[in-house]
Amino acid sequence: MIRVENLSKQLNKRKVLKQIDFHLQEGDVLGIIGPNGAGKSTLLSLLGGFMKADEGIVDCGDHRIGYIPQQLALYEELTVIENLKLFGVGTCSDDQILMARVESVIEALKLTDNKEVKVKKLSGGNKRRVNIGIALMIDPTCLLMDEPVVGVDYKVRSDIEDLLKEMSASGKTLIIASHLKSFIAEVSTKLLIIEDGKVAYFGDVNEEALNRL
Amino acid sequence: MKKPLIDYKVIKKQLLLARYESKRLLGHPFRLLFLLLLFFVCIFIGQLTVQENQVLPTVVIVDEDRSIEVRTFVENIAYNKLKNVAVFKEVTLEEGLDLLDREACIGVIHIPKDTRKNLDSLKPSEMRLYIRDAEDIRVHFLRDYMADMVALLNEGQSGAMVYWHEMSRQALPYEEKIAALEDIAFDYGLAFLTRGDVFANHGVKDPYNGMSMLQFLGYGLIWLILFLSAFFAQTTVIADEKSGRRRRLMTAGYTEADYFGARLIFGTVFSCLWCLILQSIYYLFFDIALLPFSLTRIGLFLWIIVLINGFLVVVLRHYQRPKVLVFSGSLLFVFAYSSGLLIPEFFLPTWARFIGQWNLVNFGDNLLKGYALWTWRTLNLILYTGALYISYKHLNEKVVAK
Repeated sequence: MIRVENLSKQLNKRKVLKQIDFHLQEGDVLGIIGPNGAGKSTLLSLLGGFMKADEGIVDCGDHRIGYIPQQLALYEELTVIENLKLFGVGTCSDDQILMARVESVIEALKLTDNKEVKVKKLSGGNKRRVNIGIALMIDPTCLLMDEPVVGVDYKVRSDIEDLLKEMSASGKTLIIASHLKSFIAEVSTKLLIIEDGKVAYFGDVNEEALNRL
Repeated sequence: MKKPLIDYKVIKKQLLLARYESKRLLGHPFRLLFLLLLFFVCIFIGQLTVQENQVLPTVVIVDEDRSIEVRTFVENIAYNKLKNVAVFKEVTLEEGLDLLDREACIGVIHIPKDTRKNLDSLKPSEMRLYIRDAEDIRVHFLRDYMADMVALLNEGQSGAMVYWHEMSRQALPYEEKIAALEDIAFDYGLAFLTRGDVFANHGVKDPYNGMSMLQFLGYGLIWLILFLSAFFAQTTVIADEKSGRRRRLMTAGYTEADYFGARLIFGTVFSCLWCLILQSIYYLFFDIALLPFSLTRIGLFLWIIVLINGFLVVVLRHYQRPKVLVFSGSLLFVFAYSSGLLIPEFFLPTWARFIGQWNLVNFGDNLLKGYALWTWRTLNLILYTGALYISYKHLNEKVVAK
């Protein structure tokens, strides 16, 4: 279970998040939406432990947390395999297990044909796939995603949606921040709407809630 | 559970990260080519300067006397005292004046026929100096030196004549006058002919401390390129921060220490490889070996390289605002200047020499140049290491607390 209670954070003398509360169960897919600057990325950073909260509690239990940032945080000069290996070796020192994991991620993300290609030579959509693949290398039980389908075509978006549904079905908890309501509606089971740093809505995904924004 | 002293998993992570960092850097060959180009341009400019310095001015000697004494005098001046300052050529007066007209020489020393004989018989005999005015400071020096020598000789002769007349006024016998004059001539001649090494007597300090200019430039350039290459290598830290790669590594089982350690390994190996490449180029092109091979020196060399890389990572990782980078860049410039890499410390102003005493790059440069390894400099390295550790720890805590 993931528990967030009374969470507040101030950045550059501005209160970005104010008393945020929500709870998630295993397998939940939480979509976080809100206008630009609402505090979505800050909330992900606090959940990932990259920032310390000013007030409140973030309890992620025993979750292994994977993080997919909005930017393509990849090593462009390295190949797909090298990127995955680099991010996998931090948690797995056995070469055989590591390579097996690399291969399974490559297969899951449909990158087999491009596995030896340098990332800088990949299309935007394939770069997004590698970006997701890196987070999968640690075999996370909870995945934080910041705008995972921004700038991708319909085909890649559809593949990513399928992959996320598959992960959710396997019991992984997903937390996705996006400004694309249609994407959130497609993959999420829970919805968190943040407005002006506060929780404007938290509950099941429904059209009425999505239309609040 | 107690942590093992050597954790192979950590080493494996750091080595892989360092290896991929190197690969990443090699993906930008223009940076490396720029450094090589800079190296060659600097050497080329240095060589031009050296060649310019090696074109020595010509001085013509017209020796019509040909006596042993005059020959001794000429050889003493031309082939001993001033051999590194001017080229001496012996021709006839006509040829000498022609060379002077054509600006092929800077001066003509004319020793007329019977000079020695006239001196012996106390008749007037004058050495003549013909000169051409020029801007070159060496020409001025030579002109003054030669004028001084000729004047000294002529004045010596005049002095002897005055002394002769004084002895005649006192009605001294001829034999006594000749004996006294011979004593004077001997003392004077001895002083004149063995007038010491002009450079030593004038206390001109060698700014290159016994090295050739190319050697001096070689050491300085190696450090400059090492410094720049470390800077280029570590600037990817900024991109890692901005793109979120470093943060992502932290979620993938890496620690801050892993990241920092990998950067140090990669930066140090990269700098050492550069050092070997530049050293080889210098050896192949100029037949000059630069690195002193002693374990202590190599150890200290590595230590300094690690420290430079460490400080660069800390600064670039934590201070990425343009103003801070401009300030750091200016500070690096002052450090490079005050380290006496390309301009000998001898010519630096006092403030720069003071800064240079505390300057890591200066330590490294002195190390390569084979200067004495002062104990307090090694102590300074320990202080620098402490400072790096404290800044690394402090800044990391600050980041986590954000």
